Amino acid sequence: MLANNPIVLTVRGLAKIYGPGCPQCFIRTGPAYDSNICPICGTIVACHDISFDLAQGEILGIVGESGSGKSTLVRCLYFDEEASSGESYLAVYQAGRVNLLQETSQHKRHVRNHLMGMVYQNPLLGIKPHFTAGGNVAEKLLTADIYNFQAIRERAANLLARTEVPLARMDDFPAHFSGGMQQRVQIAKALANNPPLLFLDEITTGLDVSVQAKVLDLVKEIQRELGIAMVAVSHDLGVIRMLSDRTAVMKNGRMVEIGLTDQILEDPQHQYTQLLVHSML
Amino acid sequence: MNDTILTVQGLSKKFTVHILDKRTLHGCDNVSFAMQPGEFMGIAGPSGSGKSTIIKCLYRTYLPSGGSVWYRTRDGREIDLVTANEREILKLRRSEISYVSQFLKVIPRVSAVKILAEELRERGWNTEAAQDRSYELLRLMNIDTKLWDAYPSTFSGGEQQRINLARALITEPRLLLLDEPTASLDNETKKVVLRSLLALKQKGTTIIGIFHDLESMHSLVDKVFTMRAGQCKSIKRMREVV
Repeated sequence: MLANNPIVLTVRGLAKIYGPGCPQCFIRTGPAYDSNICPICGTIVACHDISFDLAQGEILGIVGESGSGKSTLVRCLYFDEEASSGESYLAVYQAGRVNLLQETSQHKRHVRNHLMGMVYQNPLLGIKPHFTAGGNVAEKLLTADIYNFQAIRERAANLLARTEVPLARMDDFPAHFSGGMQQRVQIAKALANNPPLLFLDEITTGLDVSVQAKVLDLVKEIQRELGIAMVAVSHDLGVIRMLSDRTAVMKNGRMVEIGLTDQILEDPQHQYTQLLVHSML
Repeated sequence: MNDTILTVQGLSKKFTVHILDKRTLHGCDNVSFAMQPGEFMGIAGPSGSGKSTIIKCLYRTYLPSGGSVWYRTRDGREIDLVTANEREILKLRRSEISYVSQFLKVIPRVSAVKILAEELRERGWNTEAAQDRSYELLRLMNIDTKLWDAYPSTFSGGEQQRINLARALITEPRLLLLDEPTASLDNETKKVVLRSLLALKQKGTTIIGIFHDLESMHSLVDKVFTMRAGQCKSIKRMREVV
């Protein structure tokens, strides 16, 4: 399937800092110092020098301990946070020639509404609990400029069926759903605009083990059937092993290693990756 | 000799273990051999001698430290599996090169038949045809019909292993890498597995395998590669071995 699939997303030298920043910030932080806080000016270097490519239909896993910068990275790519520097190119936007990170917020919003989807760890960040399940999907469709009521209704029903939310509950409020079902509504919503690129941020973390398997299976099916490229953040190596083709490892805001998922798990090269893998239960 | 499918030259694997003060462990050292299409090679040697290391280097689960592994693809391209980029490797794994270990790693709570069918759907089969072919393979692997819709995590070791094999066979690979595929099988099932390996070989699949029992290995292979302490001790054709 991956065959000679085109590159969907190209990220180069992405950085995100919180604080004033000084010339020493990037030099005196990172895995070598086991810290992401600059000792001179106290700036937090959440991400620095992050580069990777993502092909159509590929799932890239991002692992690392909490505070390693993995969520910041996807939030920057989805424009929830503004990256401090770096480049991000989406093949389907302006033929991949425009750095999205430097676009106006209006253009960013357009890209996000039409070309990207995001699934957060906390479903309530991605859906509105007091809109109906169907209404949540409809909201995303409206932002993607689809206004025909009948079309919206059908597409919503279709997506909710796809993510196994009972149709009888389409007009209920997610506030009354279980966590697993809220997560599936969130996934349905993220898929609504049929995005070529989907971000998944710890999507199974808060879920019951029995629901985790269902959600993972759903994500794999979406990959197979729709060929969507995904960046999946997780601290759980078991999830990453099931889900991703390639995996990147983050530590103190840096990407210390990237490779085939089985290679990362069985033949880790970086000191931190070895520690991580050997700590697996 | 021009249709050699795999040429391994000077393949080496060293592990640098940071936790042990960057100590270097040797997996295998300067391993060379070549495979013709349809040839079956067994790898023998004591445990810890580097048998699995070779298999995993060929599949790129291990990053080789040196040497080359030239593989000739279905469409006639020559690719060095040591240096090929990751997407090329992923593509070959989906279409030409399969690996079977003793361990089944799948998403929990997905039925046996679905695990197999998804492999086919990923390769463009329609749902119904994929299902039919999966049933056929489960039958071939002697899996009780009662288990077809059950979750493999509840299966016995031998049953899991057969699901694993079925998964590798389903795609009719050109190069099949086996790491003790018959380790936990009873005699009856072992025969079934060995028979299907033989059928694959006759169809032209090139196979490299580590076997736990030498008897089944000798009944199948054309040649035996014997390892000792990470290095090649000998490569013998079958008639020289017996």
